[in-house]
Amino acid sequence: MRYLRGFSLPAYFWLFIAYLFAPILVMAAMGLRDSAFIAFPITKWTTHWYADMVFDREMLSALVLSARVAVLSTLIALAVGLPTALLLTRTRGVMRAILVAIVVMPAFLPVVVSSIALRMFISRLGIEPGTAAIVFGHAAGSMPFVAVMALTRLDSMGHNLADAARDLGADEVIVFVRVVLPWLAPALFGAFMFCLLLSFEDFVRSFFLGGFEPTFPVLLFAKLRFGLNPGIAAISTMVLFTTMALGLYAERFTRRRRLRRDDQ
Amino acid sequence: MTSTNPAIELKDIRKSYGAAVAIDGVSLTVERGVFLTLLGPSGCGKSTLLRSIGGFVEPDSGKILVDGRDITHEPAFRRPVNMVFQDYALFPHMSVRRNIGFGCEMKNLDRAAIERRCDELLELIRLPQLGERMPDELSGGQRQRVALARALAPDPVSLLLDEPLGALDLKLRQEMQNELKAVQKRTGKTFVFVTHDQEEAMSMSDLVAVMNRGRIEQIASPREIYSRPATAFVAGFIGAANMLDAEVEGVDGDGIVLDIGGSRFRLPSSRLTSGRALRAGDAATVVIRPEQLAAGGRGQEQSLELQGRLEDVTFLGGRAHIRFVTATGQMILAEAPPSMADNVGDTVSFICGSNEMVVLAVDQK
Repeated sequence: MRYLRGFSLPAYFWLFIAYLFAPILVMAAMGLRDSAFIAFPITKWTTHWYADMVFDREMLSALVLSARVAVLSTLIALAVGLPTALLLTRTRGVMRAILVAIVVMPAFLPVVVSSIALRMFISRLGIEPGTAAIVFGHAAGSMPFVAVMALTRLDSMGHNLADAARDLGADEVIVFVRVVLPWLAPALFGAFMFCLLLSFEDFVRSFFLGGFEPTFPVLLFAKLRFGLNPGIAAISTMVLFTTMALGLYAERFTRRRRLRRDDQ
Repeated sequence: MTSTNPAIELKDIRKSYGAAVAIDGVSLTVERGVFLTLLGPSGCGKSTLLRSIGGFVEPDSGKILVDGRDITHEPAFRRPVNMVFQDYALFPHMSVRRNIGFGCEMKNLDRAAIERRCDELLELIRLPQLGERMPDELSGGQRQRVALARALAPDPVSLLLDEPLGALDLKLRQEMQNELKAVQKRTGKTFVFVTHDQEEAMSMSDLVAVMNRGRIEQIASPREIYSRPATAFVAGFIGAANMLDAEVEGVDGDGIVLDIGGSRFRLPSSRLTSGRALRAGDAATVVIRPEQLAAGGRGQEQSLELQGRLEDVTFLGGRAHIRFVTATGQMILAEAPPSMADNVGDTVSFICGSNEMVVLAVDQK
């Protein structure tokens, strides 16, 4: 039993890690292969796939579109999710349970189903499939996460905090700006980063709601149909490391603030 | 502030939550510079009363005046009173200095004046070097002091303190009691303090209002509350008390003749502390503190003698607590010198002078 704990469990863990990361390493390496096809072994190395992709107009415009969609949809999700959380935190009892269920439901619907439903819905509204449709689709998908993250944070706020501000002469607007928003800031920052990534990597909604301009994941999928080449591996690797750096920065940012407080 | 109005006046405040009555007609006047404690068991309405002065609970009826001004319907942020919350409620994202300055900022004081005020208060709470700390970098006692300074900063007419020492451990609690009292003395502010801890109330207050079931049972100095309790509840809630049932046999000029467990006893009428006068035939309660019973000896005429079978003795070093049961079956608690090492089962005898006990009218229900 001790042997199992001392050796087998770590081994099992590292195997799993290898399973997770080996494909990514292979992909990163493939981008360096000097050939038009993906295959082993790599005998000649090159950086031209990486260099090409940085200047590939098609890829770049897809990336820019994805980034725009991510920022816009996240801002809409915040603008809708935050007031929702504020409303929910003031509601009690059965009503609250019902409202929370309604707000969270979109996160549990099969994405394919909700995307098709949304496509039918927006065509009724007269909105063409395209960037605007994708933005609204992503915003709808992100909003539950914003609402839940903000609500969780609000629920942990001491209920005397707002009263203390009122007591010292703050009206409702000042209470919100000076006390509630700062309290929510870490949750809103986390929700912002999470929704950005959620939107950026989304394929299903973008595919069903998109027009002629493809987002980055949709473009990659289109390219795959003509076969894999090292260029796709190269651009995917670059995107992966960029998003990873963003994620780590966000994580570090929140953790450093926490650490500084624990130190003193 | 040279006003001569009372700091706070409450006129017949009532508040119910559904069928539960939280405040049942409380009227109260708090003069300036007084340290008043609202004392009572949990659920007696003391916190609700305090929060209604602060503006966080709206009374169903009644009037609240602060410095002579009717503020019954004013929102909390316009009331010239500030609260110290039990959980301190310091703003976690603001430094100590910003916390203390918040109230002054809301009054639109200029930056320099706010800084000066913060310096003053940091000095007052003896934390002058900690202005830049964040609240979660402070100990419990320090947070407590910052909360006090923050509430004092806008120079309110009165400070409202809602069990502010409840979260501290015993030693710190005693330190903070002295500190609070000292700050109150130095600033001359009116303090309305809520607690369920009778020792805390007795040691800090100028006046104690004992509350029970949404009413004030008695409001008086700590000494008077202890030595002349006005109701059986007050007598039982504060300190230990023996309560003997009695019947009034008659009332003459300056005395009351009682029948206490079959023996006749005359008390000066000044020993009656409840408001209502007694008449022959009324039921009454005699309150005797354990330390007012003297061991042994034949009593003189003005002394009540209590005899009984010794039940147990608890030595406390310089003195002992003993319990005995009288012939009528009443358990009596008394203090005795430790030399009185009688055996359990022995008959013991105690006397109490008629000027030491208190007699209460029993409310007919």
